[in-house]
Amino acid sequence: MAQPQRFEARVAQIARHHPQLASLRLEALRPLPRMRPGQFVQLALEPADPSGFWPESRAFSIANAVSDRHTLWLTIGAQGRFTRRLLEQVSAGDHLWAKGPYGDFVIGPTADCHTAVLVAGGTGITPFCAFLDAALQAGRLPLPAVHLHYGARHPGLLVHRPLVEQAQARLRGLRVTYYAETLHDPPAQRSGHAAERMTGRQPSAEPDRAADPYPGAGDTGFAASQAAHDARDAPPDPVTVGPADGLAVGRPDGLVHGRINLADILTRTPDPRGSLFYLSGPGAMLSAFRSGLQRLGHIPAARIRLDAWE
Amino acid sequence: MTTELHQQRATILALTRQFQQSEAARVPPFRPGQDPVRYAGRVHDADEVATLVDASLDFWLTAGRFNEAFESGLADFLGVENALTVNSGSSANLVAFATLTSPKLGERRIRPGDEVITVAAGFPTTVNPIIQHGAIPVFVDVELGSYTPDIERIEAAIGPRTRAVMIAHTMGVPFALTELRALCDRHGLWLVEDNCDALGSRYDDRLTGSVGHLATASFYPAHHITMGEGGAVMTDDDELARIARSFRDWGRDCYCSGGENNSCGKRFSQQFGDLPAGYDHKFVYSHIGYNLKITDLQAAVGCAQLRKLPSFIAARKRHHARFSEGLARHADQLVLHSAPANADPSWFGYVITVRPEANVSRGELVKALEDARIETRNLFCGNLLRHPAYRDVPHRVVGDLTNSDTITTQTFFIGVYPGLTEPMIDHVLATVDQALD
Repeated sequence: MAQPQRFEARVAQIARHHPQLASLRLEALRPLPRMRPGQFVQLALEPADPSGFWPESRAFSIANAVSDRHTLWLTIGAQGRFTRRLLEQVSAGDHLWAKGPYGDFVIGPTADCHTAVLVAGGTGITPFCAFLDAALQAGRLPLPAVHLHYGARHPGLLVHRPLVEQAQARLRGLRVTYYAETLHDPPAQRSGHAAERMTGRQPSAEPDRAADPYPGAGDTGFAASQAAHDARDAPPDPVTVGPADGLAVGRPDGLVHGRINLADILTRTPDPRGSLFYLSGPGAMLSAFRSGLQRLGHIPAARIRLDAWE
Repeated sequence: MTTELHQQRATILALTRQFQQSEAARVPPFRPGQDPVRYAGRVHDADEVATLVDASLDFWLTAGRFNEAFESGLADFLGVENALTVNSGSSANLVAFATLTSPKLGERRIRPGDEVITVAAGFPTTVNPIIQHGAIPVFVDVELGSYTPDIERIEAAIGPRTRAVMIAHTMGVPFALTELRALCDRHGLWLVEDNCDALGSRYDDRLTGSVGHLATASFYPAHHITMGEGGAVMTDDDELARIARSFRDWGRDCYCSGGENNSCGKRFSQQFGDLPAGYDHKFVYSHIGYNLKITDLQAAVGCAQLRKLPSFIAARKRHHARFSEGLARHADQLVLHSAPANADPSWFGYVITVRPEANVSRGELVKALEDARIETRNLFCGNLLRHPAYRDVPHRVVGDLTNSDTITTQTFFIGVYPGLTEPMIDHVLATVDQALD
């Protein structure tokens, strides 16, 4: 991990995808330390007094490769008081303070594992976007085989799909499975600007890198589903879900109909015990998938990596 | 900070500058033979003093904004990703070597009994960390003139238990850096550059301190820039940087800076060793570490010095060139300080070895210089193995240490630091002429 630094950045662009979700393009005022895909920064709302204590901040995954050492894409979903303030009060042109990079959710081979299984639920796709962005720029994946499982509540919320498809077309060894709980977008999503925004996006150069439909606690995405489970007192355990209802591999839109689920992932993984699993998404999903991978897949804990914060 | 406080601070800093400038104006012109010609020293102006006062007004005391700016600036200067300040160059060597013993490196780690190639003629704290970690130093000789080892000597010393090479760019002269890095890569060895004497030196147009897996710097007043006491560990490898930071910061796993909490976002939700799940990450220790951090006051001085570094390097080169030119006519009696053709040293001093056929001995020449109030220094410890502390240390010598012994008896150096003036250099050269003619 490069030496974390505090830095001031200008909000160069805000892409508002949803009242509770926006992507920020930050332009740092000085060159940034080297940031590796999968790392995150702490973003503050209050100006940081360089001679004082660091203000209140929250962790946000970096959604691009930061190859120019200046531009950061972050996705902000309304999850609480801090993120709501960010979404309501920050405007283009404002200056924010951040510090980083932090974290070691970095995808790469180990001595005995050359396959990575990436599981993205909701905003969990963000660090994998940085990974794919970097791989596209390098022209290759850092390990021979990568299988990305990317789930959303409905197809219109797979807003990073163009980037993923671009990566799939260009990167040898990348396989992708998409999941959607319902096959039809709600009217607002079908006519909304999200799908339009995501069309034709390119790695790094495109302004929509961090677009993500999952506020995490709103009315979309895995977390909402999880909340619904919780509300019904049903065990919030996607691991217990078998092959997705209406499994539709080979559908014209390439989707699996159903929630992203562990049984399906294990079925699609040729050698689960020889693979590294990278899990990113809501906390409940991470806990359930981790325990499920160990219990059902007999995957050693050391081969399960979580992108998790408190 | 309020506008009023800003204004008060600005007033204090302006007065500080005025005070320093008044004091500097009181220094009388140099009087040969009466005023000392130092071998090294602090060179500063109002910038250093004002920045130091600025940091004192923060009263942050531990590493803070100035430290971050210094680390960032030093890394930028060297073109490496990571620079970590420590409280001395010797601590930097300790941290750099300790880093390579980390269990996090798995099979690549250096273990007790492994061998590390180094030189006997240098500064002891290049070698001490090797011994302190139970590794075996393997000594090779250096060349007179450059005072660095030939690559062939190092290659000949590589054995089945060799794990690293840790050598200084002695007195600013780069060893064969490109070739040595390639040799290390071929043999799977770590390369640690002790760059304490050589900030700003280049080899094959690459800055020393940026090529090895790890490198170190010193900011003691005798060195190229100073913060009083201070040093740094540099590496382009993020994994090594995190390990080095852990060793510097008590051995802890947490990487929050002073006054920060939960930068990792999982302070209370991880599992380490046999600790209870969720044990506070701030107090989880992954290494047997130290506390070798600096204060922000030191870093503040370092920030101002770093801005002067290019001019300091230029002055050192200029002064060294003057000595080379002035001493050339004594080449039959003195081994003059030299560097390989592809090296561009940021000289630490001017090293002189008195030839056996000279008109005077080293002792006589040194006495003449010291009597003329010109400071001299030995080339550090000479042959380290002749010192009492190292008598019983397990080690290996490859080849002989003839030149190291010559350095012990025949060699010394004089200063080339930026604080020298032309009249001082003239006085030194005249004194040498008088002693040798």
